[in-house]
Amino acid sequence: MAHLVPLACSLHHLGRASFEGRARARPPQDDGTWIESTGTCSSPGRRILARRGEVRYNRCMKEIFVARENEISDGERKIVIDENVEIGVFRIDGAFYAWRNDCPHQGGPVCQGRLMQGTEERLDAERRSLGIHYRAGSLNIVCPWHGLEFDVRTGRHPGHAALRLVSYPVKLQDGAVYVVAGT
Amino acid sequence: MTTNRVKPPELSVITDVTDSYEILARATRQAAERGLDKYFIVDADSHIGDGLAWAEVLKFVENETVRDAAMFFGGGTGRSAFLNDTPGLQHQHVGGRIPHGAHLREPIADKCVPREVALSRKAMDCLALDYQIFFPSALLFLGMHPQREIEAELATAYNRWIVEHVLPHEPRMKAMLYLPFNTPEAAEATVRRFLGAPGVVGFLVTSTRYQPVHANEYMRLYAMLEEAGMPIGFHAHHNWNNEYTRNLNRFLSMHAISFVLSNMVHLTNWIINGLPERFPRLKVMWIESGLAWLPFLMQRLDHEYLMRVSEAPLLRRLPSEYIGEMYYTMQPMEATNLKLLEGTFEAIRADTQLLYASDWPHWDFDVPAKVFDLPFLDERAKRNILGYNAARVFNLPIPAQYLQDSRVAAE
Repeated sequence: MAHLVPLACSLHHLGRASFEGRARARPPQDDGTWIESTGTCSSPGRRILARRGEVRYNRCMKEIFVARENEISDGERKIVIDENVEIGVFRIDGAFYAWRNDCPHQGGPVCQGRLMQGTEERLDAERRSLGIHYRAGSLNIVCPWHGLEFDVRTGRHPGHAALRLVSYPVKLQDGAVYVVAGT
Repeated sequence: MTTNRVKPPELSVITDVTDSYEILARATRQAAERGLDKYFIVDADSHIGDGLAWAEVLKFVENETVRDAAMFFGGGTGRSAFLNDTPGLQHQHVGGRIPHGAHLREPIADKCVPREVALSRKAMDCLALDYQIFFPSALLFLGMHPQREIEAELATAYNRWIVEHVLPHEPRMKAMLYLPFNTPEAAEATVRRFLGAPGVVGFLVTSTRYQPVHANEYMRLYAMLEEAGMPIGFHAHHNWNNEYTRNLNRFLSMHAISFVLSNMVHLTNWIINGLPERFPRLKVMWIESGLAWLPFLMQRLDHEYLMRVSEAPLLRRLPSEYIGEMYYTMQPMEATNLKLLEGTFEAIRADTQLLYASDWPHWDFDVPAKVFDLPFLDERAKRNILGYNAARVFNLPIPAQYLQDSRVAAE
C-alpha cells in the first residue's frame, strides 16, 4: 500500500495532524518566514532552510516547473501534477502562492474550487446586524467538495485558524514559475 | 536538488458541468491508496437522480388526468410539476461555492442507459463501491405535500420509474422505494405491489412530515415489512417551514437542526410507544441525520423513562437499549471531536448497526476513506460498517472475492 495520509478526523487536532502526517514543507509563519521542515528528509544536510526571497535547498528537493510567468494572469491559477502530488499555484496581486490540492477536511481537490471573496457581518454602532457582505480585499479558495474556505494568501480557514492548507515555496527564475517539493 | 523543466499535466477548475470522474478523482486516489478495492463497500444512501429526469417520471403517473395536467407545467415540459419544494430556498450550493451542490449537469456520452445509471456507475467507480442504494432527491419533500392523493400518485410513478426504467440496467444499483406514508392504505399497496421487484431492497419514509409513526393505522404496514424481512428507513431532510425552524435565519442553522429534529421526533415515538416490542424482527433504519444526536437521545430518554415508566409500559428495557438495536447510516458523520465520536460509535454499537453512506452528490457527502481512517476502528468494524452490515440489512449477495473477509468480519 502506498504511503497513506489519513483523512483528518478531528478538526480539533487537524492543524497538528495535517502537518505531522503530511508535511514536507510547512506553511509560512505569521511573519511570513519559513521554518525548518521535517518530513522524510531528516538527515543532516537534507534539510530545507528557506526564507522568503532567500531560499536554500538540498538534494532531496526538486523544482517543479509550473508555467511561464505570463501564462498565469493575475487572479488566475495553474494546478499541476507531478508524480503523486498536485499543487495549485495562484497569482494574486502580483504574488504567487502554492498550495497542495488536498483539502484537510476530506481530501477534496481544494485548488480546483472557486476563488471567492470572504464574507463579514457588519454591525452598526449599537451592534445591530447590517447583514452579510463580501469582505473587501479578501479572497478565499473554496473546496468544491464541501465548501471549506481558505484564504488564498495564508492558506488558513477563516473560522478555524488551525485548519490550513499545506504550502510549497514558489521560485521565480528567468520568467518561469517553479514550486519546490520533496521527492 | 533536481529541476524538472517539462510542462506538467494540469487540472482544471471544477464547475457544475465537470465530469464526475474529475470531481471525484481524489476519492479514486484515496481508494487506491487504501486498497479499498479489497473491501466490500455498500453506499446505503445516495441521491443520483436529478430534475432532468422528472418528465420521464411523469410518464409513469397512472391517473390520466394527473398525467396530462403535469405537462402544462414548465412551459409544456412538465418540469417541477406537482413538486412542493421551494426552489428559492435551496442553498445547498452555498452561494455558488459548491458547484455540484445544485445539480450534476455534466454531459453524458453514454445514451444507452438512463442518465442516472451512467452517473451512478461513475460514482461507484470512484468511491470503490460494490452497491449503491439510491433515492431520488425530488421526493424528499413529498411528505409535506398538501395533496395526499398527489403524494400517492407521484410515489407510484417514481417507484415504477425506478423499478422499470433504472434498476434493470445496472445490478449494482439498488433502491429503497418511497412509501406514501400520509395515506397508510397507499403505503401498504406500495409494499404489496413492489415487494420482490428486482433491485428493491427496502422501503423508505421521508421523515419531513407530521404523521405520528406510532398511529394504529400503520401497524399493518409494519407487519407486512417485518414478515417480508424488508427494512424500513426513515430518511431525514430539511424543513424550513415549521414554527421552530422558521426562527433560524441561516441555511446552516436550519439544515443542522431540521435534519435531526424530524428523526428525533419519529424515533422517540417509535421507542416510547413500544414498536420495537411489537415488531421485534422489523429492521428499522434512520437515515441522514448524522450520529451526534444519538447519544443525546439515548441518555435523555433513559433519564425520563426511569422516572415515568408508567407512560411506556410496553418497554422492558431502557430506551437506549432499543436504540442500540436499530440501524443508522453514518452520513453526515460529525467528526470535530474524535472522543465524542468514538463514544457515539460505542453507544450505538456501530460495528454491527452502522452503515456507510455517501449521500453523493449532495453537498455534505462522505467518502469511504472517512470510515477507513478512523483510528479507533479495528479491521472487523471497518469492514462491517463499509459493507457487511448493509449486506445483512438489505439481504445483498456478497461477491465471491469478499467471502473470506466476510467470514472474518462476522466472527
